[in-house]
Amino acid sequence: MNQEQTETFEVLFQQKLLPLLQDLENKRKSLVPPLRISIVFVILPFLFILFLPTPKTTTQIDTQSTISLILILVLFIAIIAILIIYFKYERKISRPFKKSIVPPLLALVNENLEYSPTGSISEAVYKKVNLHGKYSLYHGEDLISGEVSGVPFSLCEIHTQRSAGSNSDGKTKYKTIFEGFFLEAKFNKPFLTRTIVCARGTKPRELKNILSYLSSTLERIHLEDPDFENLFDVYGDNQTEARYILSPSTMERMKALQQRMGTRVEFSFLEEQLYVTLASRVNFLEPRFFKPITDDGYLKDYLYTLNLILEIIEDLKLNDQLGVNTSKPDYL
Amino acid sequence: MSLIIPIAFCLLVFLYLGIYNTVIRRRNAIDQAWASIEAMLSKRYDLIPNLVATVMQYMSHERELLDSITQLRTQAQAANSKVPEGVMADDALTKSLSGLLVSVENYPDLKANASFVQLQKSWMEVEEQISAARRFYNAAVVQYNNSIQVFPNTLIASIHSMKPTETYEAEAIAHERLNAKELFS
Repeated sequence: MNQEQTETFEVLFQQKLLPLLQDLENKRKSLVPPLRISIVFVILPFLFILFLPTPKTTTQIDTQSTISLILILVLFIAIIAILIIYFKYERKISRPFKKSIVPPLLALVNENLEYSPTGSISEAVYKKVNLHGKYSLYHGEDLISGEVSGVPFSLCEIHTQRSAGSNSDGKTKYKTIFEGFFLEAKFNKPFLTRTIVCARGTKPRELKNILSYLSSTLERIHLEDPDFENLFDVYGDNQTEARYILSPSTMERMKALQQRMGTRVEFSFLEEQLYVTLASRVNFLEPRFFKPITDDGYLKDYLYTLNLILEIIEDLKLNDQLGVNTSKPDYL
Repeated sequence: MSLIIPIAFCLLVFLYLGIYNTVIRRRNAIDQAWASIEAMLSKRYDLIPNLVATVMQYMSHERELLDSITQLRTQAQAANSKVPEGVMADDALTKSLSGLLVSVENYPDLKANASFVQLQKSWMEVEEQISAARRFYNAAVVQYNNSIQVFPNTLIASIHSMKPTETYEAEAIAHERLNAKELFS
């Protein structure tokens, strides 16, 4: 955050956000003790069942069956209680937080940003972006859209998972494929083919499946910058157009961005749009539960993260419009 | 024992075919890259008449320069840009065009002209595409040269008289061309 933004934040926090947060904090405080108790009542029955001695007589079997039944009942009630608390948290804290606290925070970054807590960039877009592995569940939230330096963009949090067998109780287990931010912005050059910049040692999704691999037009593109090649593996439909998109200056900016973000950053260029994914485990724009929410530190962190992501648009100079036509280039 | 010789022979044949095919694929990639350069250069040649026509209305004092650009365009278009003469003609043309675009600074009316602004953008786009095509060509050449200069590929390359190819090194003006955007700022 720059100095001006910090000062505006301080004023906004003290005058507008703090009274609202105080109200939410009281609700949070009322939910924490029952949740803690419920968690204890989930853990304890487990431990009891685990350490029950092996029954030797019929009486012991009967007693232990009764105890187990009671424990399972306690466990069931505790789980129900946790679910009720969770829904209360959603209704009384999370939703009001996203409705009243997040929009003024976003306005600090840019007054024209639109925010939808349940919205996301569509799964169809994520699918065609071709990054990461095969997935079976797609969830997106916290959609922020608008313009930065005249460049239209959308940003949201996404979480993709893949089923990975099932538990002993028959429930499907899920493995996280990607968790983090997904940015879509208009690219500053006209182009027609796909160029995918994956993290080093990874491939586009299309090349991970034997059937799509055989019909794929993507090929590995070796670029002349060894530092760039150490960070990324580039795949594209067209060798010349990939180099047109990834000019030496763009590659420099992408390297700097990767270093500044300090996380796995990947890019996909298609249909004149740039898509960027940034791996992150931060639950963005959510109120905290086990820590006081009247503390301004985590709100500042959200602002810092948002600024950092939106700076990608300026870092990559996407506002520096080049080219006027979208006709098919002669080399295609 | 009796099988060793046929197996070794088969392995050698497969090795030979594998290396030969790889080298041929890389040589073909050079041709493909070269075709990209030519396509991009031709796109630039197509842009010049429009550029000259638009500029001429405002820069009547630069008639000599404009005539020379038209002449150089004809020469460059006629020349084979793969041979040194062709590269020289192309460089001379680019040099003159850069001179023209520097002169534009003295004509504020021209700089504000909508069709000129459009042409500027197209010109910058084509220059970037030419640069990308050259980078592809050079990458293809490096890959090909590497593949015929390492052992045992070098033996097969010498049997088929495959020679290393030179990368496309345009004169210093090429670097100026990359900074075309600065000319318009």
